[in-house]
Parts: sequence; C-alpha cells; structure tokens
Amino acid sequence: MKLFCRNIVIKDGTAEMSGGWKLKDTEILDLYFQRDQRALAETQKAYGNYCYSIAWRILNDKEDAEECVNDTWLKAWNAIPPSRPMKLSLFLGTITRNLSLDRWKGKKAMKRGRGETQVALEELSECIPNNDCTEDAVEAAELERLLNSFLHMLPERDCNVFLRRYWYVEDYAAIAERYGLKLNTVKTSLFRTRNKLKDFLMKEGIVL
Amino acid sequence: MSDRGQGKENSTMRLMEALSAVDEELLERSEKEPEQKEPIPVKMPGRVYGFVLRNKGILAACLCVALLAAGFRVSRLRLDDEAAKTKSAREESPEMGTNLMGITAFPAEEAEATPNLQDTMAEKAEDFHEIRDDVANDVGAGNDVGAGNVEGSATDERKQQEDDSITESVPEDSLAMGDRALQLERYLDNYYLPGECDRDSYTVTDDIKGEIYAWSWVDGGYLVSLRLWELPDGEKTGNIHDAGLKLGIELFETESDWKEEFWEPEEDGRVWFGLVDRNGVVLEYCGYLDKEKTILLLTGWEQAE
Repeated sequence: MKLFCRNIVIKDGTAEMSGGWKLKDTEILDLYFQRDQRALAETQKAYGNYCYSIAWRILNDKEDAEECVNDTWLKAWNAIPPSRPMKLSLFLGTITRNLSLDRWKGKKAMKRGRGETQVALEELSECIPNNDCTEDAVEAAELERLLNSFLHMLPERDCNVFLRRYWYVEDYAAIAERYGLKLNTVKTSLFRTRNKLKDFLMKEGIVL
Repeated sequence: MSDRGQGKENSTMRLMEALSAVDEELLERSEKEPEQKEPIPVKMPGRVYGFVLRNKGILAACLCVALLAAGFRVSRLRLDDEAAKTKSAREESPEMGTNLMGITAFPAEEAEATPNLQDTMAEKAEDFHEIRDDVANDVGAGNDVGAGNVEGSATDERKQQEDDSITESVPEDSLAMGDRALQLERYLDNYYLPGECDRDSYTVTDDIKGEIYAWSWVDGGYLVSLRLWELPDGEKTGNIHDAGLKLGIELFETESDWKEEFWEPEEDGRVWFGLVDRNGVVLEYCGYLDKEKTILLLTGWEQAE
C-alpha cells in the first residue's frame, strides 16, 4: 500500500470519488473501517485545508506544514479503527496540532522559532504560576482535566477567543474578524483569561 | 538560556500541549460563526421622525433644560412646604424651640411619651439634608435659588476649603496635573456625588505608576475610586492599549471611542479601566456605577482637557 507524501495517490479510486463532492464523516469513517485507501483521498479532500491551516499557523512554513498534514493522514490511518471519532475534523485537527507542536519544538532546538507560535507561547507563559517548591509537576492528564474545567467555567465568548488563539494559534485580527469584535476587545479578553488561568492554576496548587 | 527560563518554556509548552486534549464540544463551539443579527429594516422616516432625527442634539439639550427647570421647581416647592410646616408648628406650640435647620425640638416629657417622635425628627433631618443637597447642586450649576443661598454659600465655602487643602497636597512640579485634578474635583462636586458621600482623597506612590492622586467615594454602598497618574515615559508613544495591558489595566485614549469600548465588567460586576489624555495623564476608574453614570462621570474629565 502506498501512502501519501504530499500528493495523494489513489490506486483504485473512481473518478467520482477523487473529484466532485465531499463525503460525509460517517462515509469516510466507513472507508477507514473497510481499510479502503480512498479514505485517505476523501479525508484530504474534506479536511486538507483545515489541517494545513492549523499546521501552517504553528509552523509558519509551507513545507513543514504539508509534511505534518501528510503525517496526520498516516496517524489517522493507523488509529482508525479501532477509534471511531465522533467529529472527524477535530480528531484530525488535534493530530495535526500535536504533530506541528512536536515539529516546532524540534525546529526550535536548532534555531529560535519565529512566527505566531512563539508569540502565543510567550503570552501563555504568563499563565504559569511562579512556584519554586520542589513538588512533582502535575501529571499531563490532571493538567488536561483542570484546563477543561477552567475553560468550561469561562463565558462562551472568552473561551472561544482563548481557543482560537492558543489552540488554533490564530492572530488577533483573524479572531476579531471571526467574531465581529474589535481588536482591543480580543486583546483584553485574552489578557483577562490568561490572568484568570494563572489564578486558577495557583488556586489548584499546580506546579508545571 | 538559564535553567529557570528553560523551565518556564517547558512549562508553557506543556500547557500548550495539554490544550490539545480540550473537550471537542468547546472546540466545536469555537468553530461556529457567531449568528449574524438580522438587519433592522430601514424605513423612510416620516416628517416628525425625520425632524427629530435631524435635530436630535437640540431636542436633547431642550429636554435637559426642561428637566433641570422642573427639578429646580420641585426643590423650591419642597422648601416652601417645609417652611410652611415649621411655621405652623411654631404657631401651634409657641413654647417649642426651633433650631437653625428648621427641625422642631420637642420637650423632653413629650418625647418620652411619644418615642416615635425621635424617629420623626431623624426623618425630618434626612429630608432636610436631601433638600440642602438639591439646593447645593443648583448653586453649583449656577442657578439662583433664593432662600437656599445661605446654605449654598456655606457649601461654596466648604468647597473652597477643600480645594485649598487639595492644592496644598499637589506638588509644584506636577502643577498641570494638579490643575486637572482640581477641575475634576470641582466637576465631581457640582455635577456628581454631591453632599454627604463619604469621600476621601490622598496621594500614594506606586512602583510602576509613580505618584498617584486618588479619590474615593462610597455611593449607595459601592465604592467608586478614581486615580490620576502619568504614563511612564516609554509608554506614551506606543500603542496605549497595549501599554495598559503591560501595566495590567485597560487603557483608552480620550480621543478614541472609549464610550463604546470600555464596558466590560469584571466577574464581581466592577468596571475598571483608565482614560489617557494626549499628555499621557491617566484617569483610572474603578467602581460599580452603571455605564451611563460612568460615562457621565468621566466625560467631565474629557471636557476638562
């Protein structure tokens, strides 16, 4: 079986399947479960741009972003089955995001990273409580649970803005445009949410 | 990079990675475009409506004048009524003394026989304070209030004393800022929070913000706090809003449309932000007033520029 490297190769794909309309998530998942390679082509068609945009915003590099997207398809192919994600876009987006962050770390080890990710990380570092004690760092699973409960406590708009910034690594202007907000409102919302997160983590006694 | 810096970077990356596990429901919600509000159908205005639209400024001014006049009449009526009551009480009981405030002092035996009279007196005293404050307001607004002039001039004297004491507390090298402070103070006295509010003014020095002139009032149980300080030199030239975020406060320029933008109460309902004039002087507001009152309060500062 030949998997993707930039260009999608379909051995047995039909004309209707490779071009034309997009399949529904359930249909794409059925293809994965049948181990039909057309699943990959359909995934690329439906979610290629979405995953690419996530990777590009983190990596700020066309080539790296494309490679991350292709790695995403490979990971998805290996994960489904047994997994059957409820929402394919988010499942794929999460894989792309994790792969992109890993790649970004690798790049950063060689030279200082640039772009929106560096800025977003610098902002996010404001949320890290200053704690010099020698407690063990919180487990990843516990941190994820706490983050989720924190985000659920936020007002919808602030939560959305926070996720667009730190999950999707979108810039301020894009977030403002998406939600019809002023640029300053977005900045203020993020500033406040970061402060709240810091307070929350401190209150929970989190050591990162 | 130091171990500490590296450690913080790793921690931040852990946080960033932990975000990958955020609930799908939240991510899905963030992907939805906000619902567009339906546009309000535009109708051709009728003649009356059109007239109102074209002259809304003038009409609003007329309305304000009418309201002021009505308020003045009501306060005079209340004064007359109070005076008439006092006069009739004096005629009915000539042995009873009256104090300067026009509140009847009842003999001790009668007060004991009717304990409610003490309450009545307290209520009357409160009424009087209200009337006096109304009159003082009118004096501040430049109205002639006839009988209220005595009380009004007393208020003026008190204001003058307060102004003098504030002038003493403002250092000479910040005279311009002190002038602004005084203007604001007068504005506040004349148009807002007059009379018996529990008020305090003081000077503090902050590590980052430098010397700060501060006022606070207790208004209806809520603390309203105003602080005046200057932006650090480096911050005056850049983006004021971003500079504010660095200092930990939302800042708006007086020239900007701050009246539309500032309203974002904290979780406890408190609103906290600052207005910056073109000289880099910040008026920091913190309180629980509603939007209308906050604008009313701070427009005085904007106008004082």
